[in-house]
Formats: sequence, structure tokens, C-alpha cells
Amino acid sequence: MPGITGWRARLYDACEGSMLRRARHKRNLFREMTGSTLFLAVGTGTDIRYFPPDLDITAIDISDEMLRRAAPRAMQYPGRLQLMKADALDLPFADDSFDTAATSCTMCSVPDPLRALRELHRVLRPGGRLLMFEHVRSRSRILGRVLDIMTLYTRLGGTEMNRDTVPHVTAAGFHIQRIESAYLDIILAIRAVKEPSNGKSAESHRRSSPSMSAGADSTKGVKKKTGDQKCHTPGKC
Amino acid sequence: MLSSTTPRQTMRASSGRDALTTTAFFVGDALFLAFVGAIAAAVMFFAHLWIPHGVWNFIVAMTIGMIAAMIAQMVMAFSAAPLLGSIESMVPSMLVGMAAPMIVCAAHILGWEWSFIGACLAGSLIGATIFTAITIYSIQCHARLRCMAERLTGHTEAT
Repeated sequence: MPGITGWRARLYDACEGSMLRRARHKRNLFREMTGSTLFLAVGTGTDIRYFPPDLDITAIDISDEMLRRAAPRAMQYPGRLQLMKADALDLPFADDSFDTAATSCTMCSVPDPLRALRELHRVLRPGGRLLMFEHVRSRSRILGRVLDIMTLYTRLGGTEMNRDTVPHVTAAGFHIQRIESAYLDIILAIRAVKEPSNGKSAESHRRSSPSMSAGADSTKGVKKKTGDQKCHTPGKC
Repeated sequence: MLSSTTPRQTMRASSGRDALTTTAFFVGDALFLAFVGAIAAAVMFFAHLWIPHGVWNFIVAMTIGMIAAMIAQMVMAFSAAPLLGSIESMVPSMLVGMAAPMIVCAAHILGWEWSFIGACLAGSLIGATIFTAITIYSIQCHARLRCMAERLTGHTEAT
């Protein structure tokens, strides 16, 4: 594994050269970071430019080579950004430590994404938000098959192209607030929240959450589905 | 101190940049897929041209042509990835890289012997068709994602 991550670190910046295309979605997603933030798998730090200023961010990665390359970018961040070597499957932080957890194309590379998400759920405080920019398997039969074929060779580099990450987010105990498309239904910006444990309902939490009421479009079109209510776009699911 | 630009002006400039970027990638994707289609079809054209005719030779030509076309597609997708995005270039171009050579084979079976230019044009047309299909699917994705979020949690917001 260290060999693969070292090799990936050398190619990472070239492969992530498509930042111009994904920049808008990443900027919109990561601007919702608040308070003490954990950023999982920082890589070479290409996402640091999208972090809002003046936050207290702990950015982890399992690869020494990635962290070494991320260091110059971390120094330029206008706030407190600490780089740390850590395993996403066994986070070295106490329960309820962070206000926000963020990931960027991480769940395709961790050996057990559900366990990683459960770890994030553990270290987030109740009401804390999870912001994920991830690629997943397409719901389209044809594109899903293409991603299955691609996984045959991307797996050699440690990347699974056909992971169904969204159900894992709910399985880990998060409540999904919003899913946005960055590219088809393959690259997604996912916003989720760790349910408050004091019995407060998700709906009341959503109404009271400052980050949810700030943006003009963030509260637009809020829907509540109850019981046997049918899907809003029949035939699409 | 007074700022020279208001937040509204900044937002307007940002959305203008975003629109320009979106348009540039729209055009870039279309041209890239048409190019991949042309090259993949050309590879299959040469496979049929260089391997003598016959039933078994046809199967050999088709197999070699498909493998060569897929390799060419991968090389082109990796080359375009820094500009167009790794997944954004790899996924649709793989579809084009499979479909464009097949259309040349289908024409060969039907006895339509295309010229090199004809094969390239047919490949480009396949690329453009797949680009159109992907664009339509992209529009449908918003509804699909809202649906998926509803099914998973019972609550969602418009995407």
C-alpha cells in the first residue's frame, strides 16, 4: 500500500489538473465548512485553495509522500491548518471532536468506506456536518458497466470507480441533506448531518442550523416525505 | 476603506466566469468525443484493410481492431484528463471507443466498404451522438439524485 500511495502522489497533481472543471462545485461545497474541521485524505493539498479562511482545520492522509507535497499549500492557508498522518479507518481523535468533516474523492480509495464513514460519524459532534465530494457508480446501466470495466484497471492503482457510496453515508448514521451533481450522477457533492442525540428531530435541527438558512438556495425547495408518499419524479428512481 | 467592487458585482463576475467555463467544457467534450470516435473508427478501418478478407480473418480483424481502438481511446483519455477531467474524459470516451469501431465492423458485414474519410466521419458521428445522449442524461440526473436522496432519507432539498 505505501508503494501505491507513493506512486499515486507523483501522478496526483497531473490527474487532478481538472480543477478548473470541478472548482465551482468544490468551492460551493467547502465554503460550508464551519468551526473545527477534519479533512480526510488531503492528498497533495489541491483542495486547500477552496477552504474558507480562518478555520481550524486538521487535514489527514495515510501517505507521507502526499503530506510532504501538501505542506507548501498548507502553509499558504489563511487560518490554522494542521497536517497529520492518520488512517481513515482508525481516526486518532476523541468522540465528538469536530464541527465539520470533509472528504474529496476519498471513499474510492479507502479499503472499507463504511468503516471510514462510521469513524467520521464518531468524531463529529452531534449536529456536525459531513461534506463529501465523491465519485460513485452511476445509476445508468450502461455507464455503471463502463465504470465496472474501468475498475478492473484503476483497482491496480488503489481506486475503485464503482462504489455505491451514498447508501453507506446513511448506513453510517448520517442524515443526507442534499446531493448535487458535479458530473452526471457519477461525481457528487453530498451534504449530510450527524443527527443531534438530544432527541431533537432532524427537521427542527435543519431549521435551526445557521448553515442551512444562510444561502438563498440552501433552503429552497425543502420537502418532507412521509409514510407512503410517492416519489416526486416517478419512473426516475 | 471602500471596496472597488460590491459583493453583487463579484457574484456576477463569478457566475459569468462559471458560464464561460461551462460553455468551454461543453464544446471541449463534444470535440474530444468526436475526435475519439474518428480515431477509434480509423483504427478498425485499418484492421479490416490490413487483414485479408474471410470469416475467421474478419473475427481476427475485429478482435485486434477493438483492442487497438480501446488502447487508443485510453491514451487519448489520459492525455485529455488534465484539461477535461479524469472521469469526465474517461467514461464517455470509453463508450465512444467501443461503439465507433463496431459501426465500422457492422458496415463491413453489410458489405458497405467505407473510405478512410467515411469511416472517420461515421466515428465522429457516433462520438457526437454519445455526447448528445450524455448531455440529456446529465439533465435527467438532477431529478434522479433528488429521488435517490428522498428514498434514502425521506427529506431532501432541490439540487
